Amino acid sequence: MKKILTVAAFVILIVFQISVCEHLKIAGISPNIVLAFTILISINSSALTAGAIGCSVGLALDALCYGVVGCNALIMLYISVGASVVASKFYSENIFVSAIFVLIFGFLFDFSRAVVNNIVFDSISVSYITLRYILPGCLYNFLVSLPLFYVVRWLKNEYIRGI
Amino acid sequence: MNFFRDNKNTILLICATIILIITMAVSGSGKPNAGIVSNTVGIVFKPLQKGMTYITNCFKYGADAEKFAAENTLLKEQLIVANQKAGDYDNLAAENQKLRAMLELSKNTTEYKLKAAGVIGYSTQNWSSAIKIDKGISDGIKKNDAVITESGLVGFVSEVGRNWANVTTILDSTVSVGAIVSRIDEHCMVQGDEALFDNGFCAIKYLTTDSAVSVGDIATTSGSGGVYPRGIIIGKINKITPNSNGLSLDAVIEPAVDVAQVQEVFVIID
Repeated sequence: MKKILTVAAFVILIVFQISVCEHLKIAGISPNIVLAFTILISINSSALTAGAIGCSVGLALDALCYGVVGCNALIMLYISVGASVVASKFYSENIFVSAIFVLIFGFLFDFSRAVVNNIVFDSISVSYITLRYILPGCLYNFLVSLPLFYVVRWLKNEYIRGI
Repeated sequence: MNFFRDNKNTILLICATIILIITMAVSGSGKPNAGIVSNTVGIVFKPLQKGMTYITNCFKYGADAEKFAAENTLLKEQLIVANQKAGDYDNLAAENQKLRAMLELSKNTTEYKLKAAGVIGYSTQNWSSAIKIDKGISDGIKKNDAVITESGLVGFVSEVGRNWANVTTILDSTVSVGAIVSRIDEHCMVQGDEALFDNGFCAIKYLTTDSAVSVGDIATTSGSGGVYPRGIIIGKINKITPNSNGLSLDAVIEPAVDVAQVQEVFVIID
């Protein structure tokens, strides 16, 4: 039941991200709620679970948005696994620590995507995009992750009670 | 066996990486339609996206009701003027046809077959510009079909599934459109530019220094390249600057269509 709730949460967030977040833009930046939620789930999961979640979410985003299928999945896989591995050493269940994880790993995700886009299309300036979109986007994701932290904590507590 | 048990996670990670790289290679091989995974996911998510878009529009239109009422009044006034011009156009068209017949010229009109589609999603990257529409292969839409509104050019169909399609707009930095500046019949290239993206503008590159282009000129599609039919309005030039190389001019073009606000588009299917 709890796993179904997590999957349902991801489905709703993906739809929300694609259909609604465009209207939540501030200075041309929209939040990446799916990325924030994925990182928060990853830092509270094992590396295997985090990798599976990251890969699945990335594949769903690849399938729904134009681009090479597998690109987001590959980057999200490593970001999720990386977040889980680092969290096993440094993480404590604190809202600001979680948000900082979202900030750092969100930056790594967006930067990786920009680099891949630059390699594939050779028509974007990574430095300009980093300063203009990625860094402000990370700050927006940092703020968005604060309420999401409580959602993830509730889901995590539900998992523990289910054992 | 101990090796596999002890390094299970690493082996799984390597296998997943290889599978995903192969998937990327297959996906990026330029097929005309979306693959089975994209198609299936798109079909499953489409009703959810339409529902979410409907709810968003209810909130959006509710909050903007007064603005839409004022816009409605303005549009009615413009419609009256347009109807008057349409009447004049009919007279001119009839006269034109008579004169062409006299000169034995062939008919020179273009008629498109259009498919209306609603916008149900947007790009998840802040630096790219793409929209998702609720029509696909089953509605006659193909990859590389041009997408327009009544105001002008939106972009082209970059990926198409059974009942959905992704449209890359002219604001995207990967898109180039062959164009003509109508007033002086000068050919140029309209491109998306990440520096102009924030303002919803595009760039015209490599105009010659002796070009007669001026602010206010309208750019339309030239028809070269085979993607966009000729004569679709792209936008109006609102700034001209010398290129950094000093050998050409660059211009900023304000698209006729506000891509961020568009709710309904038309796909040229024939």
